[in-house]
Amino acid sequence: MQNNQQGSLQNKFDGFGAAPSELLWNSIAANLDQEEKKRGIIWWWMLGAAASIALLIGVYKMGYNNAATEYSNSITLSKSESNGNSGSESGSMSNGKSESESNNSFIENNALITEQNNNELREENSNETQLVDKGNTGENFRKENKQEKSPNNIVSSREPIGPIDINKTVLVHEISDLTIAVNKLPLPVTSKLNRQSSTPNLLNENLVKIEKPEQKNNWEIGLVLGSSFSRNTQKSYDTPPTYSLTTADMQSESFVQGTQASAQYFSPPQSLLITRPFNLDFTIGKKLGKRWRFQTGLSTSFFKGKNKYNSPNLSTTTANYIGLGIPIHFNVDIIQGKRLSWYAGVGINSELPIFETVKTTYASYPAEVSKQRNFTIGYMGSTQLNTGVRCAINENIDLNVNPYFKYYFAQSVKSSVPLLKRDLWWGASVGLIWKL
Amino acid sequence: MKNNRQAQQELYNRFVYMMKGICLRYAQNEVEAEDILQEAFIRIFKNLNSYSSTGPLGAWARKITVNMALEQYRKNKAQKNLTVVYDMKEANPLVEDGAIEQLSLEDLLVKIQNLPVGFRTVFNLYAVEGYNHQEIGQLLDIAEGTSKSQYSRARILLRQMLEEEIKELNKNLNYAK
Repeated sequence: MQNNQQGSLQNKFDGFGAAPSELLWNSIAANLDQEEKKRGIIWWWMLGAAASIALLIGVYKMGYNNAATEYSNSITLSKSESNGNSGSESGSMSNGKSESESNNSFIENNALITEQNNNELREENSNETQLVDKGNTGENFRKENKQEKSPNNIVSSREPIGPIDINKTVLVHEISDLTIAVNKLPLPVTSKLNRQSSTPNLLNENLVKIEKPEQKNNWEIGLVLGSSFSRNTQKSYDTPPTYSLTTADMQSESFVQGTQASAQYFSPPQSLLITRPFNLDFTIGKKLGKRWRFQTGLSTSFFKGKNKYNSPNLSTTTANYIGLGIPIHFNVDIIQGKRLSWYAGVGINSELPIFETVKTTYASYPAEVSKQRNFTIGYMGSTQLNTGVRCAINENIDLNVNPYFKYYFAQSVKSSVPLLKRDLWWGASVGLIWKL
Repeated sequence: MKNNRQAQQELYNRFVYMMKGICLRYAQNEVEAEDILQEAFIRIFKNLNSYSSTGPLGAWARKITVNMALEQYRKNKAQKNLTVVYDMKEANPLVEDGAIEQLSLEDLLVKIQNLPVGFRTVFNLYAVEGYNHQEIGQLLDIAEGTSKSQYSRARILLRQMLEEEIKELNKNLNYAK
């Protein structure tokens, strides 16, 4: 008879256990460390990406608003003029064939004509809307195009302009439109338009004064070349390289050999060398107000780090470093001159470093025994303080010289080259900035 | 505690003995057991936030360990074909079924470890953990009937092992005489 009782062996195994191997906890701790680093990398990248997106949207919005203002400026140039004359004399002409009567006005040939103190003319679309306001009484007179003889003209009113409109306002698309329109009028008409002068050309000076809006485009792009070096002393190796190991790995011969080999990292390197450090950055900037400037882009940096050890065998570890980063910087102009300006700034850099590590071991120097090559990636986050000088080469191009100090607050570097653990860097860059 | 390594080590020291015992039952050997154990501890440390302090921590750790062992079983099942065909029709061991319960703990553990992985898992879940066949079917994604037959075959195999052992022992005794 088979024992089909559930949990028939439950009591037997109560309190049963076994001692773990000694290496198990180290392996678990190493795995947990790796998990934390991975999580750290993800968080930093998410944070960096979110900040970049938020800033880009902010800058884009600001740029869009400015562009909208510029656009409205380009289609509507306004000039208000006021004079103290209260007396009025008005006249409206229709191809020179008719004179105005006291309360009537007519529009012809895409022209917008206003005379006298309380008149207001508005033209928002030269092909669609024209309005003539006549004289002291402040009454508005409109005439539809269909009532006119000329089929090209469409006349309508937009809004009534009452007696409170004291200022004479002229809104036109472009001055050229108005000049052309006025020039199209027959001479008798134009002479009446400008009673101060018999020449219609003076209309621009005396009747319509239009200010050109300032050209505002605050975007700029740049190409920057720089170099940096680290001055902090070599840190001792805090932790050995971490591995994700199973028990089988730990018991294997290769692991034991690897553990022996990793012992060399605990001894200080015999020599340290960084060669060919340089960076090439593509920047996009936006001027925020008169003094502030936001800058981002893509930065690429390269260098070669080399360590030499003496124990247990002579060996060198070389790392070729390529970093791709997104800088987010804010600069403020401290002194602004005509051609020169001095600025200071602060920023955060998010870098994705890619290391190619080559470990060369020598049995008896200089005979080479073995080379091990591998690639690793990680995350590096740094804050940057910088100051610099911008010199205008011409209207559109600035030369930018920018010394900086960089502190790496986060480095998830799996490379076995301790050089890369340095966190304090000095550097300088020179670049050209194109104002768009 | 999530990032406090010392506290984690204390927790590890407290439960590792019990958890390794569980892992040994589900694994074929000690190496595999420690792999499961390592994964179980990592999961425990990562999910400490989800532990509700109402139940005993040991029971929670035990549950996670069993789940990790089952996960390992599913992983192995996906990677390898674990279906083992045993002809049980003629198997009728002379050893009584109740003898299994009379075995010493060490003997029983060795025999359980020598069972095929599917039989071993079902046997552990039913006889030691106390799950019923319906629950085992859900846990292992097999039919309830399959769970029943695997448990039955597991017991037969254990009895066969015991019988073989007795035969071997008798043989040795005869040689000694």
